[in-house]
Amino acid sequence: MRIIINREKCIGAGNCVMSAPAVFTQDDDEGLVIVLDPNPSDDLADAVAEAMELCPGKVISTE
Amino acid sequence: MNVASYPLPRSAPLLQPDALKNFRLEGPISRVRLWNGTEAWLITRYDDVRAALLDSRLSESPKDPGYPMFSESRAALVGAEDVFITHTQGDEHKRLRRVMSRELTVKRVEAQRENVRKIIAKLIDDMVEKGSPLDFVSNFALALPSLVITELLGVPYEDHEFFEENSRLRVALDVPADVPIRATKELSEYFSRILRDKEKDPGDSDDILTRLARDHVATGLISHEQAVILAYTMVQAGHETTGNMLTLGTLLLLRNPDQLELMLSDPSLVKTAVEEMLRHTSVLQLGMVRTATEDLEIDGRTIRKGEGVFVMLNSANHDPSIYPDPDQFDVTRTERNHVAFSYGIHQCAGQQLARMEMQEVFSVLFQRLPNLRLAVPFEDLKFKEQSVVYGVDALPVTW
Repeated sequence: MRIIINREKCIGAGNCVMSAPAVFTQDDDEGLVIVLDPNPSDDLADAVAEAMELCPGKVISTE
Repeated sequence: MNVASYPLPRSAPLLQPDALKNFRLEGPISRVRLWNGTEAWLITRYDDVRAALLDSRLSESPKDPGYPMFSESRAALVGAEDVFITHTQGDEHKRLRRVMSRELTVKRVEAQRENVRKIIAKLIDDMVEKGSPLDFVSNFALALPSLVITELLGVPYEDHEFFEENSRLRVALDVPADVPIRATKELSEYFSRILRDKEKDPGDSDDILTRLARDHVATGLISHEQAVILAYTMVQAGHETTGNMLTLGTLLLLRNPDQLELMLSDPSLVKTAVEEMLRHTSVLQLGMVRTATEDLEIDGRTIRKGEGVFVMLNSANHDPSIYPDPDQFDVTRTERNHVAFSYGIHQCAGQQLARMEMQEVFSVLFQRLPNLRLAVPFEDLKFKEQSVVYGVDALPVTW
């Protein structure tokens, strides 16, 4: 699994950090998403799926 | 056919309006009549609500012809108000949003958790010292988020009655048309003064308004007027909604003692209980306001360009296809996909702060006050049906 984000659309709601803190964080300047782990292991698949579903800006996708 | 008038009445204070059940069944869109005789659409099903809140053809700008209003007072306010962040889109929205999102990251919110714990302990100590009965809203539920947001923003807490009252009047529906405008003007002047002082001499205070003045206004990123609107938006959103959630959440637990017992028996349920309170109450009871800027189709029905739309968060959160037995308050529900904070680019910027405050409250409140209960009959409570944000005026409690 590879994480792809569209940072320009991010609104910094922080839901991805709540769902998958090992994969996502936010920068200090604008609160926008930063990917910590672009290739998360399979045991994080559920957390990443939740982050994708809850993201209000539809910023996260995987391939 | 009879067109329901809007806002819709509730048959019981802790349930959503009955009409929404039929609207979801008949859907996908339902017609309602507003205070001034005009009509608008309600979008009520979960999937349609999420899709609508992502749809750029549904505009959030009150400047678009046909923008529907909840009441005469709302119409007067929205017409008079300068650009408010939830009415913006595109680059302007991004610029304003990022000023707030940087202040409300998960990291910054977590850094406040210990402080929030201390404030909660102190407020409960004060309640115990005063003795029961007393009003839970003013002594606790509103006091906590007011203390937290004033500290974060760098606003003197002594002024809390002033901004609490004016924030309440800003979102009230059943007041003369000039009242929300006057309340907004009071808030604007107040925050304009504070910001002007900080723009002249930011000093070294570590608070949001100082950073707003120093990093955003002084550098020309946003105007003084925009900063003023952001300031009262953060104050209002920071105390009014959370205060109502803490009150209604407490009331839900008191009215569902089996669920309270369950939550107390397993501390890991506090988090899911908080999400369930948010879902079940959905305090933004009147929905998100939009106008169609072109014709659009939902499930074979057409909303025409220029027609008003209310996107009903409370209805989505009670859609039985997503939440079985939706009226049941169930602290063990595992779905986290509710839209109580809305969805799309205007989703609440302070939601992680609200969650954290609620989690901390419901981790200790009933441990500290195990016999907490209503001091008046439930039937005597006065609920805020005539407000953009649902809540209870006062909650007399004893313990």
